[in-house]
Amino acid sequence: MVFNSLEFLIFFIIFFLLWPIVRKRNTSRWLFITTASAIFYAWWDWRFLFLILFSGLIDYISGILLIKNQKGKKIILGFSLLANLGSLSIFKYSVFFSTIIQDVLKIINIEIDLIDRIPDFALILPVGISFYTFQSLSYTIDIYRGRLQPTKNILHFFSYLAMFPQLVAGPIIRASDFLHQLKTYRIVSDIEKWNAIKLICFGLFQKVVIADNLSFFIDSSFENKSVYDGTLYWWIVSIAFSFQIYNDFSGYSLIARGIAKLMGFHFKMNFNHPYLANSLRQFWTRWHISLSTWFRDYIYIPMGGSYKGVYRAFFALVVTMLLSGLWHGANYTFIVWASLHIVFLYFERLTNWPNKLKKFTPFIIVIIFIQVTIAWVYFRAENLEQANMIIGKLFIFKKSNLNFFNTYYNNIFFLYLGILIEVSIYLRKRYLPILNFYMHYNLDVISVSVSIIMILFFRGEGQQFIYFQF
Amino acid sequence: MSPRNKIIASFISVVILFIVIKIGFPDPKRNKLHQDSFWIKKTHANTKYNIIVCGDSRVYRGFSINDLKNNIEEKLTGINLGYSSAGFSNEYLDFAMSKLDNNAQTQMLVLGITPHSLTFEAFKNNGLKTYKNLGKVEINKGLYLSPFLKYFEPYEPREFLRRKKMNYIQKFEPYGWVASSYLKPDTSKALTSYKKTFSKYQVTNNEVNSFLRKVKEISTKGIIIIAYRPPTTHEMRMLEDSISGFNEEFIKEELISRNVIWLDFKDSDFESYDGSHLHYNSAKKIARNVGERINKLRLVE
Repeated sequence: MVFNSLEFLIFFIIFFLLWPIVRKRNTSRWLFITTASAIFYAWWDWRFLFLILFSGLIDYISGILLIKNQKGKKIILGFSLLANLGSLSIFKYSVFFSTIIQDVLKIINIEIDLIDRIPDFALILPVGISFYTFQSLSYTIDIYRGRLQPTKNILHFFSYLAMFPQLVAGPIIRASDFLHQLKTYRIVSDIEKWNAIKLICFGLFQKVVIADNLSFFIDSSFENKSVYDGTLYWWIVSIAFSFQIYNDFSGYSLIARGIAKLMGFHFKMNFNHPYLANSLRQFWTRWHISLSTWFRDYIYIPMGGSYKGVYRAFFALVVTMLLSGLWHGANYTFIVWASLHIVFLYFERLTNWPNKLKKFTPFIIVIIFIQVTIAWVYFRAENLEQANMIIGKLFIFKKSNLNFFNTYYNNIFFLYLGILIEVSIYLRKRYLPILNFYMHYNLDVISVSVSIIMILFFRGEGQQFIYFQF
Repeated sequence: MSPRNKIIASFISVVILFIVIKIGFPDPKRNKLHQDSFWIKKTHANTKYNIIVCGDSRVYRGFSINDLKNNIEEKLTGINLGYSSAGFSNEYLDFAMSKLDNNAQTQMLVLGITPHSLTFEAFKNNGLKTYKNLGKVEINKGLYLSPFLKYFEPYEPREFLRRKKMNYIQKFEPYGWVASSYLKPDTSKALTSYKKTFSKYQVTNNEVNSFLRKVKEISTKGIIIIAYRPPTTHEMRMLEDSISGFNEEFIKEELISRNVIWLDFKDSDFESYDGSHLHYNSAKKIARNVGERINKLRLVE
């Protein structure tokens, strides 16, 4: 079930009609959240509920055993990691790993078809598997590290793990942030309701107005269905994709946060206008924050972070970024995407160029955005050949037929709108009088109203959220 | 302003903006919801009919089913079951048969046979499958909620900001016909794409034989089958006859030998707006013509 569907609207209404009745008692609250989340997930494919159940049960039991059995802690954690990462590997990486093995064997003249031997069920990628696996892993690791007490109530645990607003596309919620929130219920205040409405409206606006309207233009270009070509054309396509993926994923996170807020819970911010970052390092503190901090806390810092010398820091950065690339997808393109970020990040660290140019902030923002956009080409491309071909077109000048602006007017219009919104947010943050004007005249009321009207009358063709595939 | 008042103010603003937009721009040109509902009703409504008209876009745009019904002396029901790039595969013809009223005295299939409808590519029936394979929710939305959802039909920025008139006129009529035309007709427009299409694939014996076998099977059940080649421009006919692999005379003879009634039409009696599909007036004319011939042949008693 996706947030921008009629089914979800009905689900949402029924859920919030029943929520005030069931929220008062722990058991009924947890049971209700777990059941509703199961229905939400089963709408896509009920069979994969067993996978969440499997992953969850292992971590729930591991959590209890970790406290009871201090001596065997490492074995229990190892078992939990093996089970979680094992199921992730089977469903997400079996084809990719088989391809790598085949490619390596081909070099030594051994031809073997491993992909055909993968069972059919393992070829289906369960929606949101990367999200709930990481969420489940953080629970066990935090208990292992002594930072979290396990819950003994299985419904409490599953209402955390399967919480529907963030189950399939994040944000990745930490047990240490959320289990205690689930232990109580809160009556939502008027200001919280208003903030929740804003989050949901702005999230839907980002998804169905900006991202969905850009998708036809981008898909037809990447699927070779467009007759247009040339340097300017591919720059516009690449920039459009930067805005599509941002608005798609940020939109989902905003809706998830808004729904949680209406239930009386708080999810941390997942996107903070990443394209306004004035360094690539800052970009990573603003993009998919729940994943970046997950990698920081469970991979980068345990590897020494930046405290154990330059080489160790570089090694930790490479490993973290490559794992982040692989988390996003099982393809060489994601590894190149991550590698480009490593190169740009390391160059930034060595030269400290954003700091040296800090008087020219808008210029730095544009340069960072260009770096990110170039890397996104690898993220979106079907394969390395296509990505390299597009990069070639971006940098080796070839004249474009400008008619594409007219052909794709109905799509590119929403790119202008997306850029305009980011620029206005930049100006609002930078110049206090604009912010004061916004606050004084209650422009948020106008923003919400216009967003709703745009959602109703300017929504694009319904598309799945891009991050469902991760 | 308090948060509660903000919620109320937003609600009132949305209602006002909604009314203003609906007064200023009553009909969005895209009509996506209406179009989807049209196809879903055509595919999934449980109604059964006496006459089923089958074929590709030259049929669903080029045959006004109501004009056929109105010109038959007996009172019969019918639907235009044409789909985009439809091919006369067993699957498609079985689907058409499932729409026939088995209890009715008169059961009739009208087949508009174009060269493309007998190709391997058309036999995939992707246009039909798009709607046949929809989920239950989408189907119910199209069948029952479309009268309500039409008020939320999305607009395109171009029509809103530039007020540009679209060249394509198409009206989705009840019972499966799409009345179509161009504001500025271009009778050579379709030629290029057809040249491209038939350079990739042509009519082959496999598809023709499968179609003929199925027709025989249907006609032995006592169902009246009428077939015709949808008229188009002279240039299109010449092109199709030269490169598509379609042999009209052969198909005609084979169908007649299987008790099919073949109707011939002159291209010059009809008008095409894009070099392939019939203008809506011609779509009405051909349907009337078929009705009159049915009366003459005394097919319906």
